[in-house]
Amino acid sequence: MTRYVVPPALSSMPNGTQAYVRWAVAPNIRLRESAASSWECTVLSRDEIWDRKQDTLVIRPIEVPLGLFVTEIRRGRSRVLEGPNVSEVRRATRLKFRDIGARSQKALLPDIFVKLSHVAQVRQVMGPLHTALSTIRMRGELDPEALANRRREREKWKVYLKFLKNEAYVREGGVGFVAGSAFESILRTEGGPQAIPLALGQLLYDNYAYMTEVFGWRMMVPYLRWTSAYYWRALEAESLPSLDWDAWSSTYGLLYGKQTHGSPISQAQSLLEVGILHEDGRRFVGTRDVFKPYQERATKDPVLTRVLSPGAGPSLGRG
Amino acid sequence: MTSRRVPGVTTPKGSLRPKEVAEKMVFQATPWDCERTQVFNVLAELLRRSPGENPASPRDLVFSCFNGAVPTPVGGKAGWFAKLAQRVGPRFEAVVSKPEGTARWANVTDALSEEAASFPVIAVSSGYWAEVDTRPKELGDQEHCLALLSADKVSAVVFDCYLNRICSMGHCELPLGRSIAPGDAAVEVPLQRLFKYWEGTSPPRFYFYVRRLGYRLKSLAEFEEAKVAR
Repeated sequence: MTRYVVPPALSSMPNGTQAYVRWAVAPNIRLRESAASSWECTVLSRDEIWDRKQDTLVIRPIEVPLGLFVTEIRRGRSRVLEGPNVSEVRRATRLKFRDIGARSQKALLPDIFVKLSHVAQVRQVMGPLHTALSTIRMRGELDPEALANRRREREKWKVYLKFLKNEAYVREGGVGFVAGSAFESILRTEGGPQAIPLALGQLLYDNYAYMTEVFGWRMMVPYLRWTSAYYWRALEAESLPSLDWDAWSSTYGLLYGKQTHGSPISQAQSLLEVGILHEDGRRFVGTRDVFKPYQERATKDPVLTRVLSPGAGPSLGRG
Repeated sequence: MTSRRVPGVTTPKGSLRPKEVAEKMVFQATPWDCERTQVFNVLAELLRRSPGENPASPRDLVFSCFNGAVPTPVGGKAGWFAKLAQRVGPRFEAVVSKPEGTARWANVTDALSEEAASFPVIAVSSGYWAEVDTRPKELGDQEHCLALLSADKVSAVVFDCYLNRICSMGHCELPLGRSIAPGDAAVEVPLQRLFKYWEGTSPPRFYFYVRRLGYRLKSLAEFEEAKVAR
């Protein structure tokens, strides 16, 4: 069975100019009038998600916004003054998919972190924050002097504690630090040991890019990317498809380029072990607990919404 | 990018304190002028830092602009920054753009530590206005440009060229209507929040800086003269 998700009809620029643009740039380009003589340019592509178990093929149009064509009409004929060329369209498309991948990851984070934190590599890398927050939860206060003996380690702890302080997870008090307002509210909601993964999940959700780039915690990146690669397809299909390894890894390639860190198979295996995905024969299926909140969050993201449902939202300038 | 020592550099960038750098910068004249103002600020600072005796070659500067090359409503494939470069000065050799996914914070901090480069200018999303306790109505949800003067792992100091106007609207501690000096506009922002604003722009992670290619530069006076002549 094949299910089509049909895009709304688009208005277009004068036929002659549109034909020229399609010939000169890309045949799958779409143009929508955004102001007098300027046309918003998007690439309309289609993704095919084949659910192997249900034997269903979902064909989903996705729209990638690229920029503006500016035209003028002289002696009754319109001509293009400015607009992206072929290589710019290719590059912009690639960049847009990277952006989609990053946003998809962000929408997934709050729901999977608790599970993701059980992956050994991720747990190891977030160790210092885990230690600091656990100490405050169990003992009520944290003495920074007791955390490290060596000077180099003390400097490192200073950075982590300042980070937690900026995020209002700790504040100065007691023998050094006590729980800040953000951590206190988490402790009120969840008083047990589960408060720590919850707090770390929230911190990771708010500061994922910062942690991976400034703290250099890149160990967790591939796990999140593999998860995002599956659930992006699920978002497109609006269900939980049963994907084989080839479909899953090709989605990873589309969103993030070539996988370079570690072994893909062992990373996928870790995701199965912690229950972010399930195995069904030699195929992979997601869980509804992750998918539903992810879908809700992703539909609030203007970029993801725009890509999945063609036709919305102007871009902003700078002040 | 590796740091290169260039002959003629009298004051290494690393020894400058953010407030001292900010003191010589200028505020923007109108609400929509942050990009041009910051280009002028960082370029002028670069030229001030390296007064040379040798005449400058037309090919001695690279205007490096990252993630800004995606066609924008302002300028199609030439982009807004090429027009900006034309307005600011005559000697720009090239515009370098980098794919969105590969612009990292490390690239910005490299530019910050390189002597031959100007201070980097980063774009921030409208969330930044919360840092200065206001969201100017005249700008709405517009993005903004900040010159990054220093950064460590948890905090950064930026020069906000719009802060004088914000203060004149009564949003800072100064009495209403009193303007502030540029030196006071060096604002310390927690890095994790600045990072979020930097990521939240469209396109995300936009930044630019100007870099010398190894020649000595003309003095600032000569630069301004050339600008007026143009």
